[in-house]
Amino acid sequence: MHIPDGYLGPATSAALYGAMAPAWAIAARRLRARVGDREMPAVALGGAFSFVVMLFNVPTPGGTTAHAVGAALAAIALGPAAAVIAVTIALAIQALLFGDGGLLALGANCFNMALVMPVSGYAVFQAIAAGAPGPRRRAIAAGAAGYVAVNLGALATALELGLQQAIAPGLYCPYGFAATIPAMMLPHLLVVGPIEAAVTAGVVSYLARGGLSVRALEPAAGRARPLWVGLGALCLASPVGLLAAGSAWGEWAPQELRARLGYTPPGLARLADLWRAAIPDYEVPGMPKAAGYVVSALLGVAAVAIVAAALGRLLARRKAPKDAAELARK
Amino acid sequence: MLPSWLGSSDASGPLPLSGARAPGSFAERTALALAGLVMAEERRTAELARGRLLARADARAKLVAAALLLVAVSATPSLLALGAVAAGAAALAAASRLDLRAYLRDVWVVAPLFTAAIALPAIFRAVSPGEALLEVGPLAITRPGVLAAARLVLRAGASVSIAVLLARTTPAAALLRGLRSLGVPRVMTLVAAMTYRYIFLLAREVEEMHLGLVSRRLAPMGAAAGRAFVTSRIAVLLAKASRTAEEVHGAMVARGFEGEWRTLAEPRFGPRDGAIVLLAAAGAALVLAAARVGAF
Repeated sequence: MHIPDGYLGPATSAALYGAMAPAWAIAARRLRARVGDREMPAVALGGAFSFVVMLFNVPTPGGTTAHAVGAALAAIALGPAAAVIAVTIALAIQALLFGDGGLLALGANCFNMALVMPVSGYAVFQAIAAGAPGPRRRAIAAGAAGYVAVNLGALATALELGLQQAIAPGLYCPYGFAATIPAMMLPHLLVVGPIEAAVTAGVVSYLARGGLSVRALEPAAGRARPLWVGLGALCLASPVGLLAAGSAWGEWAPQELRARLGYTPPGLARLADLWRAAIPDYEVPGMPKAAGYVVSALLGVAAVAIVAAALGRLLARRKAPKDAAELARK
Repeated sequence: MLPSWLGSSDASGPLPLSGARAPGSFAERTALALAGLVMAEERRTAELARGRLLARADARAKLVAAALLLVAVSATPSLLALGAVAAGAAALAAASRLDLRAYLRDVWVVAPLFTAAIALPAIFRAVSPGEALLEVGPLAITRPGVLAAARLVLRAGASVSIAVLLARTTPAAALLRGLRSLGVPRVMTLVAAMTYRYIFLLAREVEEMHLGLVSRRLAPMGAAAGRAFVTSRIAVLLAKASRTAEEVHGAMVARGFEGEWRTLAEPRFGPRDGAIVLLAAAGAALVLAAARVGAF
């Protein structure tokens, strides 16, 4: 997942350094506020752990080996802010002192592996292991965190490389989204993701079974705030879909189907206008296309959240009297 | 007491896994990767001790020079300029008395070869449409495709040349101090300095875990058992790292550490260092100008 120098142009590299700057500042401020300078040895050892964990060869079922990244694991064990700093330092040492991974691309590599991975991994872990989870749910949450984190990191890498080709064709990465996304995602979804999930779940489970303790540098978030941050970031990234040409397979409008087939199937023609969407094609009248996508994404997330919250309240109210009756019996 | 070979700089020492045979099991691969890490560090230390020219220059000058050249390399489309930067970096490596064979292997074998494999499909018409240079059946190699692939490989090679030259001629402590004086927050550079030491401490732990497994097992381990071994060792490493951090913190507090860091005096920036920055700026300007005058 390390992008070497030469694959991204100077503007893209600078933009990704720019994107990391607030993340580094926020992570450093949070760490300093919660643990102070006195605990910096713990962050340093977190960085060393993040570096060394990438050197482990993990056996795969096919007889070969793969490497784990461990960024979600670092976030679960130490906290997301500590993981952002620790993985950043591990990547910087790899690039500066071992010449591994680009120096100009360090911002991009940090964005993918030291921000997207630990923050998304931590959010997934918190969402699944919320409340008082048993060891099984914690292991499942850790596995899901590892899987989602490594795939989102790979997706971010693929989007950056594909975007670079769209911005400056023929100068840097020679492949567009149509090549970078499947080339990165297929191996990550099928091989690297399951390995990362197995390692993350295995380590969290082993720590609990072996009675080994790891002191987290931040208290676990009681709320799912990182989840909202992640959802917000995804909403803002939604216009990326506009760069892809054509429609999704099987989602053709009647006129598009007519152009492809030469006729509109009569059943489709009859039912196509049955429902008029409030925001057709995610485009808000009077707004640029990209802004319309972001507004649609935010409205969609808000609608789902309101329905989920209402359902949750309804179910909790139905369950509460039963729990109260059980308590009274005890 | 330690045996004398443990204190010597001959890092090829007692490790029983080296040799022409390709490493087999995951445990051997991990042990070899970790041994390789230590050997690279040993080689770097030896080179720095006998180094000349860049190895004696101020880290700040080298960092600024590397940044200028990297930006120029990243911005230029000129193949000639990219090749010239790579050749210039190799000449500087030789003049700084680096092990040239090891330098060329580090620069040209891993990253550019890997990039070449990635860039290969881009030379065909399916990826890069345009004027055909060669047509073999349904496959056509196009001029824009060959140019794009050559640019990617040469750009990666030139960038890695600069990064490896910087890494191999600058001690870690000097590099981090240089970054500090160039504005990187002190907390980051000091944590990085500590991290750098602990990497080797944790690497030795992991190497011992894997050597223990290799030396005690007679039959190869299945993939599932291997994964169980790896995850349990990562968990143990994480717990050990956490415990070591507490011990280090305790030791620092016992010695009077109150959260304030102090460093040794900054090194002096001499005329030679100024010359390095000026030459790099001139080189970067030439690299950028090469494209304007239409150099291939």
